[in-house]
Order: sequence, then C-alpha cells, then structure tokens
Amino acid sequence: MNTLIVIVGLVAGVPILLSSFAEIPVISDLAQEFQRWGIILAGFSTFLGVLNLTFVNANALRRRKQAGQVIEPVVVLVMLWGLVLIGVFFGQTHPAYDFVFENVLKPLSASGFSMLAFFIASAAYRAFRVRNVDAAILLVCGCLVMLANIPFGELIWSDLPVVSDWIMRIINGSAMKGIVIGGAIGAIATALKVIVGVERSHLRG
Amino acid sequence: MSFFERLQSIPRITIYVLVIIVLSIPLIFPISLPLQVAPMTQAVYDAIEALEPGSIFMLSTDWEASTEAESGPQTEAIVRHVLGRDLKLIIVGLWPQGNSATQQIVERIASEMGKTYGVDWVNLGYKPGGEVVLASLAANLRELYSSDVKGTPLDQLEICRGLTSAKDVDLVCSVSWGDPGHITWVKMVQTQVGVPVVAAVTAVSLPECAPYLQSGQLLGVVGGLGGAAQYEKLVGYAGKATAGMGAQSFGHILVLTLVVLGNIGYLATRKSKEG
Amino acid sequence: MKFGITVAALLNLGLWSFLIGDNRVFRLVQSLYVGAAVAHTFVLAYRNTLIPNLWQPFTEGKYVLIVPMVLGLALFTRVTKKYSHISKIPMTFIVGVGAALAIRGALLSDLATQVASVMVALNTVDNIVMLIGTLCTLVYFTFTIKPTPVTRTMSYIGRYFMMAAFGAAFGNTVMARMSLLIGRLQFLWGDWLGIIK
Repeated sequence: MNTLIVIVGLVAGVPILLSSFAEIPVISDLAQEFQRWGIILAGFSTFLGVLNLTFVNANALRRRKQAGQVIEPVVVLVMLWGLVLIGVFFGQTHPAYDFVFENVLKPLSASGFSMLAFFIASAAYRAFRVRNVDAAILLVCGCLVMLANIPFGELIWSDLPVVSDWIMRIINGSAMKGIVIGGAIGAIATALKVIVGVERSHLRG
Repeated sequence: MSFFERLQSIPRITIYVLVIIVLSIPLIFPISLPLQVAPMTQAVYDAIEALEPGSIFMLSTDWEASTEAESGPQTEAIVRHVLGRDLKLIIVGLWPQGNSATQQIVERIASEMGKTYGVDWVNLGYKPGGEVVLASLAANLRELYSSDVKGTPLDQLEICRGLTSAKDVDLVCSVSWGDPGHITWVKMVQTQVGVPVVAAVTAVSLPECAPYLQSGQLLGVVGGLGGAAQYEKLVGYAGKATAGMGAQSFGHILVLTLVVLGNIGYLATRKSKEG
Repeated sequence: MKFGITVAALLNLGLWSFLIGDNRVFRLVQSLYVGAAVAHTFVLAYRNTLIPNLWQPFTEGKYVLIVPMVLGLALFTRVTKKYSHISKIPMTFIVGVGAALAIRGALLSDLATQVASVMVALNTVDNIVMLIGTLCTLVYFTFTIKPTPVTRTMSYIGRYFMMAAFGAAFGNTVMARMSLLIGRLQFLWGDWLGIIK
C-alpha cells in the first residue's frame, strides 16, 4: 500500500512539475488532464463532507437518550439533506433553495463573522499592553494605521495618511516580502517531499 | 480595587453594548465625512478605465457570505464601473457562496443598466479546487468550463465567442477574502501567462498584498470597506460602503480609546507595584 | 420578502446570543448554518463540476474519466473504519497535483519575482529601507546557521520590522471586523426595522 501511495504521488505530481519547466506536448497534455481530474476529485470531496456530517450526526442521534438532546442533530440532517435534494433535483433557483440561501445561509455566515468585532474590541482592551519594545512598536503602528483608515485621521494630523501609507508599503511590505520569500522556499521543499512520498502527514487519520 | 485597576477590568458585556451603540448611532444619524482616495484604489479604477469598450473583464468571486459586508459593496462598485464602461463581464469563482451572492448583485445592476445576460455578462460558476482550477483556466478555459452556471453551452453564448484561455482576458479582478483568492490568481495566472490582475480584498488581507503591489504583480487593490467607499466615490455614487464610513470611524475611535484606557491602567498599576 | 428578512434577523440575533454565553438557541442556529453551508457547497460542486466536467463528457465518449470517477468513489471509503486506507490513494493524487502546482506558483511568483523586485537601485530611502527590511526578516528566520553579532543584530532589526507589520495587520484587522458588524447593523436597523432609510 505504501509503495502504491508513493507511485500515485509521483505519477500525479511529476508531469505537472515537468510541464512547468518544459513545453513537451505529451507531458503538457497529461498534466492538464491530471489537473482536470484534480478538480473532479475536489468535487467528490464536497460530497465527502456531506457524508461525514451525516455519519457524525447520525451517531450523535443514536447515542443521545433524551428528546431534548436530539434536536440539534435532527436539524443538521434535515437542513443538509433537504437542501442537497432540492439543489440536486430542482437547482438553486427553486424558491425553497433560494429562501434558505438568502435568509438562512447568507445572514448566518455574515452574523458569525460579525461577532469577531465584539471579540476584537474586548481582546484589544484586555490583552494589548505595552510590556516591552516589541509591543510598543506593534501598538504604535497599529494605532497609526487604524487612525489613518478613517476620515478623522487626516483631520487630527494632515500627514497621517502619508505616514500610514509608508508603514504599509515599505515597513510592512519589506517584512511581508521576507516572509513570502522564506515561505516560498519552505513550500517548495515541503511540496517536493510530498510528491516523492517522504512527507505523508496529510494521510494520517 | 483602585481606580486604575478598575480601568483594566471593564466587563465584557459592557464593551459589547458599547460597540453596538457606538456603531449604530452614526448609521441611524448619518454623518458626512471627507473621503480621500488611496493610490492603490485609484490604480484599480485607472486599470479599468484604460480598457476599451468590448474588452473582456474577468471577475473572480473568491469570497464567502461571511465577508459580504466588505466584499458585497466592493463587487457592486466594480461591477457598476465595468458595465458602465461597456466591458464584457465574465464571472468565475473559487468559493461557492460568493459566486451565488455575486450572481444576485450583478442581476440587479445589469437589469438597472439594461445589460443582457449572455451578451454583456455571463456567470461561468464556481469550481472547487483553488490552484488547480486556475492552472486549468490559464491553459484551456473551454476544457474547464463547457457551459455557464445555467447549463447553457459556451458556444451558444455570444460573450464567450473567442474566449479560449486566460490569455484572451484583458483584466482580471479577484474579489477575495483569503486563500484561494487574489494571491492564487497572481501565482497561477498573472505570473504564468501575464494577464494583468487587480484585487478587491478584505482589510485583513491588505498587508499581504504589499509585496505583490511593489513587484507589480498586482496593479492595484481595493481594500476593505474603506476601499469600497473610495471606489464608490470614483464611480460616482454613494452606496452601503459610504454609508458605513461614519460607523467605521466611530468604531476605530472606540477601540483606540479602550486600548489607551487599558494601557493607562496597566502602566499606573505597574508603577505603583514597582514603587 | 419581509417574512424572510424577519427570519434572517431572528437567526442573526440567535447567533449573537453566544455573546452572553453558550445556550440552546445558539446551538440550534449553528446547526442550521452547518447543514446549509455543507449542502450548498456540494450542490454547486455537483452542478458546476461533477455533471459538466465528469458525467457529460463521460457519456459523450471520454471513457478515460472512469479513472477519476473510481478515485472519487474510493474517497468515500474514508467514512468507514475497515476500508478507510483505500481513500489514501485519491487523497495522495489530489495532494500530489496540489503540491506540484504549489511548486510552480512558489518558484516563479513568490521566489523569482519577489527576489527580483528587491534588487532595485539604492537611490532612495524607500528602496534602502525595503532592502534592509527584507534581508533582516529573512535572517530572522534562518535558524540553521550559528549566530554571529552581525546576524543577531540583523535578526533584531527583522523582528522590529515584523512587529511593525503585525501592528499594521492588527489595525487592518480591526477595520475588517468592524466592517462586518456594520454590515449586520445596516441590515438589522435598515432592512428589518426600517430605521435607516
């Protein structure tokens, strides 16, 4: 099995890697075909998500004894399979699907993320302390950028947008550039290890 | 508990209520604030202005409904600009919810502007896979997209005639909330085939755009709700983003005030402990 | 229309009830969201990928697509205990393709182009600071060489550049999170309660 996995990794990765450096028609065609297969498999993996959620909640239903405890798994399963069946057989333009997307999924997505505003205000107040030089630099730059991002900032100090732009472009830009370059070297090394089968942590579990 | 210790221990619920009140007041009682357009937002506008009518503009919906507050107004402002310039709008997407939400936004704007689906704009839909999708799109778009989101074959759509790969696209705009998103477009399309890319990103992603802006891999970036408000100003209308800038300002001032209060309390108590 | 908006608003408030503490209403609303989100992702993948990119070409004669079909079905063995090892094969294929593309992207875009963009004429303060910042940040992450006074100093400078970058990131994060809440408040006060015109 391990040998098969290594072979599959090599077969999948090598044509695409070669086609990045040389224009060989047979290799390029194979690479493009494998990319299309990758997209198809990504599509299958979305149904794996459906299956996984079904099994997890079905097991939760089996384990729970009291009526009050089964509501949540039932809600998940009804919403999941109701929407899947309507979407697959009738499409997204079906009124029921459209209603759920517009009035359940979109608002809940947005509401969940909007809670982060409360948490960031509370966390900034509680944790953002000037304990040392590093924290002081972080605080000063953060405050300058926050002020410059709003129209009031320019009213307080007319040069604030220029200073903030310089911090973002030059200071932040050079640090991010270093991180991107270092990250690229690490990504190339890790990806090569994955293709040849040395790195297999993604297969655990 | 001393005054300075109490300054560091405002209850969480009090902060949450303050946040809601401080953000709601300028929404209910709007205030008009001057808005300066940032150079990177202007660069996106100029890139679209430079296109001839009939040029192909690809909009990639790389966001989820979680960031609709930022990505929605950005999408609306850019689409109004694009359709107003009579560019051909091709929508693709790396994330599912954003593509569906963008379809609704563009349907509304296209109907206002008298634009026809299949002639002036088309939605090719969401494809899972991130980098793999863009690698395929760069090489051979027709193999990846055989039909649009409604199932109509591309050959039957007037807007798709002559569109075979990313090289036929004149400008790409990725409205993005993370990865895969604008950076994926830069890596897989801009660097590989040379198609110019601009981005409209959430404010969180703005710092990571700096190296790509400096290297020219990104021509310009619309950043966050502020960037959307600036773009609305450039296009010539006041939408949700502009309406939100007052609340944004008050929100920032609240967070700054809380940080300053917390640090005053911390430094004062540290001093008294050392003393 | 109004009924839908009311449903959306009540679900919004139900989710926000978590701010007071974990409770039944929050968990119910969360269950609705999880089910809907996973379903929507699959429905779009099914209609936009599995049908047009797999089923239709397969029925039109592209029989080589039996391979990704079988690999895709093998992926589902992951939910079983006895046969889950079979799913490692399609997973390795996906990861192998992704890794090869990651190398392509990282090499040309993140490595070559970014390094070239640092090699600018050192005739302005901005360019000098950019070079110093990039080099010092790279030195900070180099753990495999023995530290010398020079590399230690460069490492400190790199750390200060990164602190400034993280501060800028924090400022932008506050802007982003506030924007998301502003969007929700615009919906609640405007679309639902009609207080904002």
